[in-house]
Amino acid sequence: MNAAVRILEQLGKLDRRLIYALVFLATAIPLILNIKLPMPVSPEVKSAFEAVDRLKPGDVILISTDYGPSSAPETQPMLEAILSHAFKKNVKVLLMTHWRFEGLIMGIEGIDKVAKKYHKEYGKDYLVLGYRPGGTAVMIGMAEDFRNIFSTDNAGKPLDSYPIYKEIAGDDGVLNYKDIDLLVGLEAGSIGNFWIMIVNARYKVPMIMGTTAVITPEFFAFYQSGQIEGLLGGLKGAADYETLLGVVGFASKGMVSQFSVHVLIILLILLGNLSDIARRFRG
Amino acid sequence: MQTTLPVLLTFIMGTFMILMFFMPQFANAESLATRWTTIVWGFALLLGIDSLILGHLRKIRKGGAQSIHSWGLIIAFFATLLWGFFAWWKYGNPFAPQSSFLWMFRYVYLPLDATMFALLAFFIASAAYRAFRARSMESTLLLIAATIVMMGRVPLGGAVFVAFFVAFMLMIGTYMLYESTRYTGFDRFIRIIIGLLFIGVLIPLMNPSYAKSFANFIPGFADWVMQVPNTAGQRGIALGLLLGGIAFSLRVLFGIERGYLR
Amino acid sequence: MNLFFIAQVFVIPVEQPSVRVEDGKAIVSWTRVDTSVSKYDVYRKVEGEENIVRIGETKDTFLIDTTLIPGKTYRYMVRSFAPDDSTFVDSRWSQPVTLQQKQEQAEKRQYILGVIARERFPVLIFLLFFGFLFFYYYNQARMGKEIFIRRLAGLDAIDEAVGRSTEMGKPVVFVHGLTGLDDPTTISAIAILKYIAKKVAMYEIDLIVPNTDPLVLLASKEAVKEGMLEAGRPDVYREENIMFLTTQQFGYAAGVNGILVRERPGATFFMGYFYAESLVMAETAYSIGSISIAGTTAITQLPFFIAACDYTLIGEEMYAASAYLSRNPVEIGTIKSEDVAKVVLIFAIVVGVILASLSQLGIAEHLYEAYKALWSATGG
Repeated sequence: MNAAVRILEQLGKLDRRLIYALVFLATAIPLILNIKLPMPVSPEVKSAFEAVDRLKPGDVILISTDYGPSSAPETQPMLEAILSHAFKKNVKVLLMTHWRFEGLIMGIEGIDKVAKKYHKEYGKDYLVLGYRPGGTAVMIGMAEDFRNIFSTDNAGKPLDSYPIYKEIAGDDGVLNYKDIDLLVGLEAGSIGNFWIMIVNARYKVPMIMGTTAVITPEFFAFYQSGQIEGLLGGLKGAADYETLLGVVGFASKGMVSQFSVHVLIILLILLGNLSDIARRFRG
Repeated sequence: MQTTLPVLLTFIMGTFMILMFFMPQFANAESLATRWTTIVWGFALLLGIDSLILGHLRKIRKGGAQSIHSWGLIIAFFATLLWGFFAWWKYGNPFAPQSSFLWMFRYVYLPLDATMFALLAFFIASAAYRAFRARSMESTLLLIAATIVMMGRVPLGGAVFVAFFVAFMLMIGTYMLYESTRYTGFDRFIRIIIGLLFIGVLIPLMNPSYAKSFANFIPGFADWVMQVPNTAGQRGIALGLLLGGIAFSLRVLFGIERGYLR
Repeated sequence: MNLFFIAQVFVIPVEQPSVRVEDGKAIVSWTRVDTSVSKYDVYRKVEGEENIVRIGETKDTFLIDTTLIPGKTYRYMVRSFAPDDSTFVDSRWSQPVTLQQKQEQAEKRQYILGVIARERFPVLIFLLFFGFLFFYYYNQARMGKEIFIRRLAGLDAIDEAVGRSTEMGKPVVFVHGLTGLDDPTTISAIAILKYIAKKVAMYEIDLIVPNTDPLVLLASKEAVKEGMLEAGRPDVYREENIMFLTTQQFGYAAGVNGILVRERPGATFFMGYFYAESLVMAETAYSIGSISIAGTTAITQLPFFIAACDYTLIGEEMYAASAYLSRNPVEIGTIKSEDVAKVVLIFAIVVGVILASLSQLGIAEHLYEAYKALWSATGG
């Protein structure tokens, strides 16, 4: 009996390098094995999906990729899923970022990949506006005319030289928030709050957000108050969107990794508590 | 004088920015003030780089085993800088699509950045292992809530949660029954009752259909935990933060608090 | 007599809906006259055109039409449906509304007292109210009224942590958050840094301060220098210990981790606004056996600090820190105004919840009806 108690007690003092090795294995093995597990879709993701699904061909969505490669495993699948959905419905896409060049690179990588799959043409079906420094000043400046901020697109040509511009700017020839049917913010930091507090609050642009798991709790408040129509939280949000879309993407596969790591962490917590109890047994 | 002038400046600029918030028609003045900050920041960055480079040169001069890191930094710093200038000269913009600097950025810098972030997964596991101990009523509740949310947000989570739940309840129940042997009278009686209660809760779960509906209930419950108690707590902290922030700003603005100054 | 006639459900029609145009959208609203209505359909016609379009359905008593074209004139009509959707009745057509051309739209901003933007007026009211509380308690404290503030374990532990570091002969590391001087959190962190510098100077140990913002770097240098001067030991100040690393988030985390692993401090402080790098740094501090004290206003990072650090200043405690450390009763007094404002906010929330619940249940309308009936009965 005493030996068992001592072993249990030792389980509370595992070397952290052993824990790191276990986390590595729990993450890597499911990704290599390539499996998918079924799971129910969260309501906030469903309403985000419906917000995109409601759009008609020719409607415009503006996507802001406000994240870098560090959070890309969570947010990039969201970008790809939403883009696939939009392109499938023949919705026009504008892409921009507030996250310096990291955000731009992630955005271009995603949109090029998905556009190729759906045979969409640059300048006709989608446009990459690019990155401009200034944060909220950029958001406010875009309210009047996108050309105030983005005099050219990312390739350096004037916005109004593209056919997509004429199509979406409408009769008045000015492209601003009034022409945007849905704004998609993919967020890893606090930029999402400003999209909501400035662009949604002042210009009433309908919005959905995709956020990394760490900051998702903050955005539930905005979802509940109806300021954003839907919310994709972390990898689970991306996987749910893929489920609704009927594809098996990176997020769905990643969820299996997440599952095994969560189980591992809970097992570790149980071990820690068992060892605590064992210590009290003796003491 | 040494404190009066900064406090006066803080007061004037602070009040000006607050007024600008309420009078957005003068937004130009506001953006002018922000532009000043950007300019000052740009020059301060030079001082920062100066501090970085000088500090490491000093370490190199001092020698020792650690100076290899300083060499690494100095070489990487100037290599990146020169590479950027070269790409600027050659492609007109270091981040032009065909630029070799962009290639470096994409395949050297970005993976390093992602690696640092990925460390988080390992650290979360070790921190959770260490910190999540059921030592009090509150920490036990936290533990249970954390388990529910973690399991509710992954596939098959409900089923696994039921397994954990059974293990947890058995563990606590047995512990309570064991504890009771150390006590006598009422203390023993109450511990036996609690122990039996913990184990008794598991009896309905022996019916597979009950266990299944319990498992199905978990994902929705996890969403509820996130949306209701969690959001409520966050809002509470946020309101406190907001008031604390205003009070702090007022103290700074009116020079009541000068802890950050001389 | 037809028996089915009894089962037939009647619906009382909505009166003429009212329409207003705001931000390029038409908001059609009406009063609920029949609570048994299952849903409302809203129809629209363009002046001078024949077709009538159904623009949507709702259970609420308003609908927002976002598809207006500038320069055209619209009228709206509301159709009320019986509970089983078997019957419906139409309202009258609304007054015509026209969406102005865009240039005129942009000009339409409303001001109070000629200069204050209408949409921000509530903020001003709150600020004035809070300012009043603030100065009331400021004066109370100045007149010598003592105000109680609870102990903040995280701040009391600073002395202990620095002391332990001295016993071990190890340096102290102070890590700033990622935000700049425009964030009050950073200002507060600098005040804490100054206090730590004072303690450190007394014990003659090293204080290492890595920075991510060049302006914060300058302020940190001044604060540390000043703190050591106040302690009477300006000779302890070493400029090279307060260094700039990088403005990049994870580059900064890597740099801080490097410093922690190489210098093995006895005490580590994390003060400011942090993002995802918080736990990466805090766990490293733990792994080298350092006492760690964190303080942040970043709600999302609080759980990580609480799990990994020995003490954590939560949210507003961070703002209260410099007043608390100063032991100046006047500064502490102003903290009281926060508590009073908090009580007022809680009261407002409770009233709001009650009113919203009443209206959700439809009780508010009945109360209003009852009030109207009472009013007319008394001949008022």
